[in-house]
Amino acid sequence: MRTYILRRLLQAIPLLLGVSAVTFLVLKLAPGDFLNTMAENPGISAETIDSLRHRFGLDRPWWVQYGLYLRNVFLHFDFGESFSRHQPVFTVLREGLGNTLLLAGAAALVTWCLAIPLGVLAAVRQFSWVDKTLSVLSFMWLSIPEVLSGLLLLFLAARTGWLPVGGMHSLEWDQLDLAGKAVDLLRHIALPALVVGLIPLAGRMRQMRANLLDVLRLDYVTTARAKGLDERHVVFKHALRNAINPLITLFGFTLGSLVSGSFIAEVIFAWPGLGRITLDALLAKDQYLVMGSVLMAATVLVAGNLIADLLLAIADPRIAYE
Amino acid sequence: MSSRTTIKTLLALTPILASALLASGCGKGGSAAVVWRDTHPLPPDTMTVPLAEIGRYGGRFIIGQTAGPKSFNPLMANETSTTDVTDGRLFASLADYDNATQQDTPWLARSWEVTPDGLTWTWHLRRGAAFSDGQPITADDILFSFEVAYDDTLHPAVQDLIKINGRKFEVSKVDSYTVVMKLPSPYALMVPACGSVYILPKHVLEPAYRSGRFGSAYNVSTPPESLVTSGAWTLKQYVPGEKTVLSRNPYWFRVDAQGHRLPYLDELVFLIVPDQNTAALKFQAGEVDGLDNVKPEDYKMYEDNQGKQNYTLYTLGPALRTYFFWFNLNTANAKKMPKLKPGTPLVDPVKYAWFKNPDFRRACSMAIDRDAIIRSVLYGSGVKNWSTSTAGNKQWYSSDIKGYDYDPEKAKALLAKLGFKDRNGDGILEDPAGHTVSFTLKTNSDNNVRVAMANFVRDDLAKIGIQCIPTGMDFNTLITNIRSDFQYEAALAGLQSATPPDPGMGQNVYRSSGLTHYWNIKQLAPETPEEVRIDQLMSANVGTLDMSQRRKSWADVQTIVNDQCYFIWLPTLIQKLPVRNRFGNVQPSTIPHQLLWNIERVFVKPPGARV
Amino acid sequence: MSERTGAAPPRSPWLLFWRQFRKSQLGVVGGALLALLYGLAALAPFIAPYSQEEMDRARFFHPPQGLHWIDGAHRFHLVPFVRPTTLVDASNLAYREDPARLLPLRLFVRGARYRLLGLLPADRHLYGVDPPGRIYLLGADGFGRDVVSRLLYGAQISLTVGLVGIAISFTIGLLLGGVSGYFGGWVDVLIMRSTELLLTIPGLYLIVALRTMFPTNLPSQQVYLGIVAILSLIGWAGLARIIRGIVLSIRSLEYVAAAEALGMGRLRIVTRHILPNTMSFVIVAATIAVPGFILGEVFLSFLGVGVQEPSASWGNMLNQARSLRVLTSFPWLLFAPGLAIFVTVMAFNFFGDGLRDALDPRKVMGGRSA
Repeated sequence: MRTYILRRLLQAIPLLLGVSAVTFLVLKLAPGDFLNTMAENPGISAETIDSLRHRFGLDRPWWVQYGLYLRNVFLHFDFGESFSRHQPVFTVLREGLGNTLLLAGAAALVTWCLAIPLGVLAAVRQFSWVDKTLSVLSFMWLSIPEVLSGLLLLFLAARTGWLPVGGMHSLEWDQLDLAGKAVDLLRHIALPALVVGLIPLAGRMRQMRANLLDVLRLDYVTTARAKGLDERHVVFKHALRNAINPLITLFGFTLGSLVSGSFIAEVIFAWPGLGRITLDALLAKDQYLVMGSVLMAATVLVAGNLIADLLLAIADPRIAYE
Repeated sequence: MSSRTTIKTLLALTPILASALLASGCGKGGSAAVVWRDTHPLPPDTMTVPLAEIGRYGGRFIIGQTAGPKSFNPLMANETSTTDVTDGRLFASLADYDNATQQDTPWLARSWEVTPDGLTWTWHLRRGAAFSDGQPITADDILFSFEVAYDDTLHPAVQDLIKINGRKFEVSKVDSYTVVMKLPSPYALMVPACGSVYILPKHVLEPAYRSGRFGSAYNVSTPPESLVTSGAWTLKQYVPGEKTVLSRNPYWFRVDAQGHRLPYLDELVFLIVPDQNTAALKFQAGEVDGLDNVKPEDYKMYEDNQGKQNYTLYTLGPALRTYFFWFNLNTANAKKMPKLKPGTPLVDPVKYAWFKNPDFRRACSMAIDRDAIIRSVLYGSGVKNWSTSTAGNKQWYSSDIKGYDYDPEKAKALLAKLGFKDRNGDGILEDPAGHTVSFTLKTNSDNNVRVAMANFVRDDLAKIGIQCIPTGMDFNTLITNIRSDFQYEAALAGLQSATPPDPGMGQNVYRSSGLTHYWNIKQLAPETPEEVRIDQLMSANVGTLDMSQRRKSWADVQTIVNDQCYFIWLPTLIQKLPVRNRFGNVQPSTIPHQLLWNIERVFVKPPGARV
Repeated sequence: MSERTGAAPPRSPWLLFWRQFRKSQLGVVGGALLALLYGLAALAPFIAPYSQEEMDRARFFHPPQGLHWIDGAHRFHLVPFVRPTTLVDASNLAYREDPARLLPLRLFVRGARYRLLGLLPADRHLYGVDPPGRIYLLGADGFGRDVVSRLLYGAQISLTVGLVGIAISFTIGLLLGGVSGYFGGWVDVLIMRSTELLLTIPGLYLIVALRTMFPTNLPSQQVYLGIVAILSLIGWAGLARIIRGIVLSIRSLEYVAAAEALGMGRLRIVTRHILPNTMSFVIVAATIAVPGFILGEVFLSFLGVGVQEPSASWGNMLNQARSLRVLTSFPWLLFAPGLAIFVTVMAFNFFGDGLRDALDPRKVMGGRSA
């Protein structure tokens, strides 16, 4: 097992290298560079911009820039500096990553806490009106564009005053005690987690349903029924554990995709996460910040996949890695 | 516990959890407010600020920003999200600008004078002015700040303002409270230009500067205790992506008429809300006290709710932000596409022939129905505008300046006179050589107002037979097109006046060598008689301190520009901003920063006195 | 005799599929809706009374006009009519209907010229009113453009984004996945590493970055194709991996060995024998993937880099309407494209679900489930 993990980690390095190369290339292929953001200020002369270009090293050929970047990463663990913030990239991203992971995690929790029980319900009541209604309802949320659902929920929050209108902490956060802080965070994360988490619900629920139905057809289930065990026992104690296995792998993937998928919600709900920082950096061509952010998101994805595979190995004794 | 029981327990807990969440929202606990007491003696040279009302200490003001500050270093700042916090709030300079009277006022300098030849300026610093750590602000700090501003490696953007024809001023000190600056030639903008150099603490930042680390000094990771400021405020807390909290500088020298030290507020909070709809909702929900960026389509909603939500929507008048479009008249020279033969038009020569003709440009200007744009794009809150000095610019606006306004019949006649005819009946004119008159109009797609205006331009030009194809694109690429590779035919953009909105602050727009002289940037020498004249007028404008002469030269510049239709002007928005009623001394202005320019005078009114 | 064998008479696979599909009511509804939507989109220039750019400067933000059958004098009219309106409040953009006058609905009116299906020149439109009257059944937007017309023209873009997108991404994904699974070796490694790379880069950032790479002088139609190309470039990787897995399992089956023994070309084996057996999975996956492309276009419009004005797409109509003012004063501008997207995505999901149930071989062969 240990060698397997080591092997996967080593394999991740060329993968991340490739990701950085592709990202850098795409960044460079688009015309313009970071200094265009100073553009609308009529007080800045051409000489100022040229000298700044030189100072940031943007006037050198792209392979030189990329080579220097790699050297800094591997030798000094220095991911470069953000042009617009004059801070190390790592520092800028570290703040946002935690918040995005929190939101992604909460959204994943929403998805799974609903998908599993509802999927089970749909499976045991297959083809009934319950099954059909759940199907329709879950598809409905999937079909509303996030930009619309976010706006509507925010509007509702503002009108009713039940939940805060966006943001992550209230202004009194520092004065709250631990319980108060927990409640404050829950209130702020509720709506964005809902918007993001309900979208994959349809797919996961259908998968849970399909997997459970498959397992329920298997011989050992028939045996259990023949032995006289009641249906609830059969479903929950025997079938469910095996039906869940394939979904565990999916959990790892979900986390990774939620990191970038929560982006729209982050903007609309003013959630201080990675998505907003990265998008601003992308449009401003703050290249080292973009590179760092993409690499961070990619690392989360790779880590998620690895965790998923490991969880699967733990859960399913038939699988063994060497 | 079996899974089923677990599920049942969770389901049972949900309503309890939900009600806890909702309940905690109601009843915001009030904390007993402690009124701040001034513990330091007032400096000898205080500055009494004229106030509409004497205020009282306490409270905080929350303003929304679409993005957070990227740094706390005023010299390295390039975007308004940073300068809103640093310029004038955290840091002060020699001279301030009063948006209400639209005059320069003393700040760290209590007075200044200039010799009759305009070449030597003497600044008398305020004795007793101190940084937020108590250290006195002296001539050494002024010299240090200017030294950094003039640094060739760092090359801060403000450097261009404190140079004349590329030459720096000679800055020296006479004693601890007197600074002398010698200029190569008279400079009308001396006071606002020096006012743009914010004063930094030499005792804190000199080591960083000498060792080459100034670029990252005072970045957003700086602990608040280490951020020594020269302005009315100091940094209390910064939470990335969320908020910036400023609190008062206990050594600030401005006082009210009763001798109370300003500012009145305990805290100034910048709340980061990226989405404008969310910001509007937050304002309605009472989570934000003022917004400096409101879409015209939301004006009605703000107006309707004023009474219910206890705020006022102030009408500030025409904004200082303009909208216009222009044609690409750039030609190759040593600085632009040097590989081409000098003088080669950088746009398709067929189209260059049309664009170059002022009558073609005038016809395009006369085709635009600006009233329709005001009604639709600006939701009725707009005025026609013919200059970068809009009607909101009281010092420099002149109603005598006009442009080629809506007259489609005249436009068609003008084009017919130039030989443009629709020979094949497709509704689009052809030029005398038979080419279809068609061009693309680029603008940045993230700006809804510009995109909408481009759409109207398209429709209006189609009515006189010209095919205009609006092309939206991302801002960065657009700027590259306009400034570096010139890959565009016509473009629609705008400019925002500086503070103060003196035309001399925008030399790069009107000088032929300028970078924002959009229609033909970076000329080596002015290429047409009109350009020669404009360059002369701009030099005259900044080379004298006599206001009537400056107004005359500025009027002449605008007349030439409008007659030549270099910029085809589009209407300007009438700006309206909402602020909660419980604050006193609120005086929003069209000049940036609209709400915060006098925030040190703002206070929270006592509960009984609120409207 | 048939009772002895106990076997049902053989049925064609299509008939089996149809019989199973019909059982899923939602699938059938979804399919019918899709047929309707695509039909409307194809005939858009005919059905729409106005073109998508036509601005009516007297009617900015005009509310939807209802069809009436009973006029102000309580007389019944067989032909429905709309009432002409006047602008009563310019600053609030409020209109009032004139109860005395009426504009009867006319069918097959003459209007702006267009080419039906891109080929046949025509100038008849399904409905309209006598000029100078205007009919805005779903209201008008900020430029005075008819929402019904823009919705229909927008449908052309938004609905074909998905089809073109899956055509591209599925072709690439199928081919590369099939080749990778069948040939193995370094081809397999190369292709799989590429998919890993593509899947690891966060999709949304890649979309934005690629979009800014575009040459800037393109007209809107080419931008649209570019957008589709970008979305497809993201999409093929996941499919390729799954196809590869399926191919790996099919590869060891007997009929493949037989084909190889017969000396059939390897690429032919892949395309003629192996890939067709992935079809049932592919069809379902395609149906479920189309909504992703439609919502991807909405996302690009949200960022401001989607289909540009003045062309209409559901994404940019939604983005323009995304404001509180619209929500409170002109809600039709928000809900028309929102509902259109909603119905389309739902229809695709129901249809795909129904397809999946129908194509599931276990169900079709009569397994032990219902």
